[in-house]
Amino acid sequence: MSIRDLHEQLQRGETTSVALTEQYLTRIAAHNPALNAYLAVTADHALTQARAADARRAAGGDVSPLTGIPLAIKDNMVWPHAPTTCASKILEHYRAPYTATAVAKLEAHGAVILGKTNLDEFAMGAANEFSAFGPVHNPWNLEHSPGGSSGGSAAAVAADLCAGSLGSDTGGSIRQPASLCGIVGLKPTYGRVSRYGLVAFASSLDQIGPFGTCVDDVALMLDAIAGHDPHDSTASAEHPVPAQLRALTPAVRGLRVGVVREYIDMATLDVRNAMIEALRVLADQGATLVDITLPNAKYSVPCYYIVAPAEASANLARFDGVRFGHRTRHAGNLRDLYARSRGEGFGPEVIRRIMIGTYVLSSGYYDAYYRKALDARALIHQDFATAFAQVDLVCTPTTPYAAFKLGETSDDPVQRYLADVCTCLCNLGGLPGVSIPCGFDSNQLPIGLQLIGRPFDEVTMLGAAAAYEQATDWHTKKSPLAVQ
Amino acid sequence: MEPITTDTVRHIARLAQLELPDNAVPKLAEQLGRIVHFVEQLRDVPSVSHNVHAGPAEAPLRTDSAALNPDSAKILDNAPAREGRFFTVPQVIA
Repeated sequence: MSIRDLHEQLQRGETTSVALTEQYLTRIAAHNPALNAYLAVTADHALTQARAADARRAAGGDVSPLTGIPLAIKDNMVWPHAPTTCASKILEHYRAPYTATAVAKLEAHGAVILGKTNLDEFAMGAANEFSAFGPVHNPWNLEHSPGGSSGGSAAAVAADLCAGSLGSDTGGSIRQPASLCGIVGLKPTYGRVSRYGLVAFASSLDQIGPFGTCVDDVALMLDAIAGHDPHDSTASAEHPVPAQLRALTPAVRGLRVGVVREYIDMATLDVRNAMIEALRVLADQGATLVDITLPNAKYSVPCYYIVAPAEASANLARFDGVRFGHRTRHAGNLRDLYARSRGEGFGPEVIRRIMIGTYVLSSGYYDAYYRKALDARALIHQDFATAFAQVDLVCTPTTPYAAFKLGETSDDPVQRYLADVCTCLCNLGGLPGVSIPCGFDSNQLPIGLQLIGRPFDEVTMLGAAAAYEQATDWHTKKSPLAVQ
Repeated sequence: MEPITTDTVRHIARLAQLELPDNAVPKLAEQLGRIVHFVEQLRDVPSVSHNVHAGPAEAPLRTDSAALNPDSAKILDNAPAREGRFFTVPQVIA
């Protein structure tokens, strides 16, 4: 059921938050061993929150659609009631002394936090195979990846182990797993949601965003978590959270939707066919399709794999074994303490990215790589500015293919990085992007369509997504695990 | 493009304060070499006079007012080693 449906059941007294929470906890106990979606389940705390939500509702207190709704949080957002591990050995036992703003906002609404979900270590990956605590499995086929890095958050929603969840997206880490798990996933505009309490990967690219079973759920969660935060200077004070998110109107008639054919052409046959049909549906709903080009988008993946690792190499410098996290037992001096703690605590993909980031920022290489990446990023911005003078939305597949088998991703890091080809340009542009289900491949694995909107215009983007959803039934399909 | 040699890997690892096992260095050199070769395509990108900023062009300032941190004890609870209110580390120069 959708969050709004659950809210209405709660309002009518047909269920309680305690009952809902217990149902989800029972499902988690039954199915998480197969999925590995949750790293920590905080049952006692969740039930305490559920009782408080029920009391708030019974007393006529301030109630929103999220009050009493059980949600899950990606384990790279700090929260004091469970370890914040970032799926890394280096933070395996770390207990944060504060709560991330986005999570605090959900709790202020009276939402119930069921626990923390699995991810690629430090949000670096697109298959959720790089977690130090085991991979996540796709609820549509357990032999397949749910995508990443927010694989746990996506799998939990797709398997009905929570009503919604939060993930984070730096190059596609909400949208790609949403696509591979057949659910809705939103990366807001950069600056729409506070990053305070999100363990930083790439500070100019990271955004927290929601997963849900439908566009309306995602709009409700965005409404709850968005807004200015004095703790995060990049969280916009100039763009108030639009009230339309609370009562989203499906609307695509009259909108101009830019189609980037190159992204459809590079996809598998099943994805291409699903996209062609989806575009026909959008046109039938009254959208005008406009072929557009983004001439510099071909630089997006190499640009991303310079900018993101460069920023990560700086952000992850804090993990040094001194104040928190893993400390080596084999250090006679401070330098060895740093180097051995980090070498022992970080996994292989994190090490690769720190190394690349350090290299491209190092003396003699900064101009050849990092400066060039900044130039490419500026050109991508210009491409989108030109595009949005002609169209209201840009449409691409979310990824060129459906979920791949676990263990079958290439040993070549560059091949893995190409999974971000449709998504990372959105992060580089600071733009909002949403993935919505638009079909299945010949193996019955979900396919996602991506809409990209103008900065801070999530309402138009989500309205179009909702209109597509109304005209189709892909979002109503449940994974085999969700119906068990 | 200069190749990524094992010496390059060791140099970068020193800069990044990362100790790598010896047997990991050759493979890392090969993988980093592939990544660098891939991003080399950016050499064709023309220079741009103005770079874009992810957030606001000017950082907003807040009032400079002192306040006690109520979480000092919780922060210290995460310390791998401590003496009272201090984090302890091995001597800086061995």
